[in-house]
Amino acid sequence: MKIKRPFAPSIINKLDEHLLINNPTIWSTRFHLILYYGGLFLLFLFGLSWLVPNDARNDTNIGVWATIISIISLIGIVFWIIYLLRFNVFKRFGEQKMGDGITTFFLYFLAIGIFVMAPFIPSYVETIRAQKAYKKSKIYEDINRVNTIVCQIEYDSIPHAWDSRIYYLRQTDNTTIPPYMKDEEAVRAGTILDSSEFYNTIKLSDSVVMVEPGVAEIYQCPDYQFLAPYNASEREGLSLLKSQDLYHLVLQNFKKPDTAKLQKELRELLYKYSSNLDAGNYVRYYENENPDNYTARIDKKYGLREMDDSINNILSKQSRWNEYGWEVFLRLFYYITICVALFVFIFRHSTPKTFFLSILAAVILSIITTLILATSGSDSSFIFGILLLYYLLFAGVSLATYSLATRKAITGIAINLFVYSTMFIPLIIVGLYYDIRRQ
Amino acid sequence: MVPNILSEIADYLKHQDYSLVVRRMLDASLDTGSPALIRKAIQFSQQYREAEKQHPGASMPSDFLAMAEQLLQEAAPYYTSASPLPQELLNATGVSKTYSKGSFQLKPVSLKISSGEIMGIVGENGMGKTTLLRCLGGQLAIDGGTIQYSLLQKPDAFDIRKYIAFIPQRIPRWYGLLKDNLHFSASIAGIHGEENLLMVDYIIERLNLGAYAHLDWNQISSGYRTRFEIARILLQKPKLLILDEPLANLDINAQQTILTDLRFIAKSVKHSMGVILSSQQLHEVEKIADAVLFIKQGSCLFQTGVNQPAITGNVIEVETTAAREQVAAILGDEVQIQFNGGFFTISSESKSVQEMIGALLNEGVAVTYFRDITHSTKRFF
Repeated sequence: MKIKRPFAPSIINKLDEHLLINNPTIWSTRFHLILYYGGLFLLFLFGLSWLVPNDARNDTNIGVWATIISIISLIGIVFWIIYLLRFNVFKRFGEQKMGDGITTFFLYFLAIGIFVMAPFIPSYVETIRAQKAYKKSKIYEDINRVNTIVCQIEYDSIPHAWDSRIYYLRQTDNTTIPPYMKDEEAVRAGTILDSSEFYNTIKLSDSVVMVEPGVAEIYQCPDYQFLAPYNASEREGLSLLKSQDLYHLVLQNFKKPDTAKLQKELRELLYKYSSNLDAGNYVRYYENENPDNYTARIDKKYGLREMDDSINNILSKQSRWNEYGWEVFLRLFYYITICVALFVFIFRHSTPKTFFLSILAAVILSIITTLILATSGSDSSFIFGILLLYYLLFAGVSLATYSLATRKAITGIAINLFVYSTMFIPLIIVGLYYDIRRQ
Repeated sequence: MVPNILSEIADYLKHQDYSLVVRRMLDASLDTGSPALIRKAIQFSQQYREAEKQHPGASMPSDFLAMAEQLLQEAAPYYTSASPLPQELLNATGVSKTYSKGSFQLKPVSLKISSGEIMGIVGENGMGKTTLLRCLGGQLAIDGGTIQYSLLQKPDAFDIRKYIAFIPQRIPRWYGLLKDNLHFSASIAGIHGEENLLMVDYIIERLNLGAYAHLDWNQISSGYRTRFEIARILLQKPKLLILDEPLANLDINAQQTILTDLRFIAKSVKHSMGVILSSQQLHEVEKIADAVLFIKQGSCLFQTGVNQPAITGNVIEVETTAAREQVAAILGDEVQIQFNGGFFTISSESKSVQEMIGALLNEGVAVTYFRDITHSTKRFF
């Protein structure tokens, strides 16, 4: 009880001693040490992620971080399992209380959860840093301002006329086709639409004039959204000015602006989002694009693509841990943790021979079942049924042999597979339920 | 009957067998069940060991003797009732085992053991001793016969492993500090808190492991590994202790000490247990065992009180510098002489042991070793 543990205060050693002589089940899981050292590791990661240079405008390198930390976590789990082998309540045949197994499993789950959580820390810190560095409403405001300024400065070089086109609603008797337009020509132009497409086109148009029932003249405003980052979709009450908004705001009643002042403001905004990015990270298309295309020309002239990339990076980082991000994280966290925790639990409760035979049995069973299902062309209900049947089979063998004085490998395999597959039973039952309802 | 452990200690004290005094005093204190007395006995033992370390072989100081007297007086009130009667622990009938690979077969063996009894399983290498022990310990499934664990009702594998402690010849490695392992073993056996600390200190002192408890597995010899394993098992208080070749790694002094201690512990007044051990050290085992079972080629050839062939004639082992012809000439035609490398095995139907050894000594033969093996299983080897 006098092991010198690095970075461990005396309270940890006292807790270790207390658990050793009072609660060997918890002591032997080493959870108290995992909690302490794992907590230190998470804090260290948090601090490190906070301190390393990270410009929110740059492309994220979180994948590299996550990979490295996952490897470290894996090494940590291996070390922990080696420690677990040292003292095993369940293989030393001591006194066991009701619920010891569940307590142990719960502690394994939490301990592995710490390891699994670690790779997500830098990503979370990156989100916080991006949120702190750039306010989202200000970003939207800046995008709108850039588009407004460009429209003002480039008034003379951008198109003002709206594109228009007449669309026809297809009738089964073709009576609505105007006599002056031959049917073949209209079909070639793609302007005779089925009802859903016709009304959807009207809905999405910038402006429409119903010439007569079933005939609509659709107006499309030229594209004035020179800066429209993909990630800046409408959310949280924030939205970008659309092309027609910009048209009405700037072009419709155009007044000659103070160009020098606007250019200065635009430079400042561009500078704000200029990240000194390595342009090699991004694919630029200026050279391949049509020089007559005014949007490409303006992009190139003001370097708007770079700003677009920067804002995309910022918004992507900011929204990584939104509601959907949390859902993904929780699912990943839960399933990885429970799978590993069950592996460790089973490993600790069986001999190495039985453990590896169980894995082999599971693999062989999976292959055989897959072959049967593939050749029989069965539906999902049958698959769920087979899985339930296996589960009941494992449960039956486990219960029938549980109280035997002598254990055999087959008993251990059945118990291991029964315990492991218990995790999937709720999923199988829910799947089966919906499958039956669907039928 | 009131046990005489206290008078036994007083006797050791009188003859200055202090090593035995402290060991038996520790046993006596454990019998009392009084934590205060156990703690005092530990201090008493530590005092002895310290004195021995400082001045080996010197007589003990007066305060040590006074403490011994005081402990004896304090322990006396606890020994007013008779010790519990022996209980049957295991009854094996016709146990047999055949391995799927190889030709070895353990032929049906029956044995019984009760609390406080020590049974020695002897025999040459590869004759089935370990197989029998592993069957009894629930580690191997038996092919025939029955094993009844008398104090257990419908036991499962886990119950049996708690009931019987099995110490194999090759002890699995311990990880971490040795003392931590002892605390852990006591703890999983339900000994918690202060009692855990006390009992670990007790067992360390009882088996004289104090100088090594803070080390780890790699830092101790194989003999001490055996002793630590015994300490660990004793903390778990099994009803039956099975040891496979426990003496294999021990020096001659350690063998004597361990065997004596096993006997003392097995026959504890309040916490008696059954002990089954296998060994090649025939004479040492026979000295402490209540029953001996001899196995040859998987069959039980001898079992004390059960399968005991009638003894005809007398057999002795003699080591001498004299030539075989000289020995034969002195003892005459009534004896058969075998030379077994280091010594002669001499058997006779008509001559007594005294006559044989007396004749040799009278003729001036230099006898450097002599043992009467008439009643020993050694004669079956």
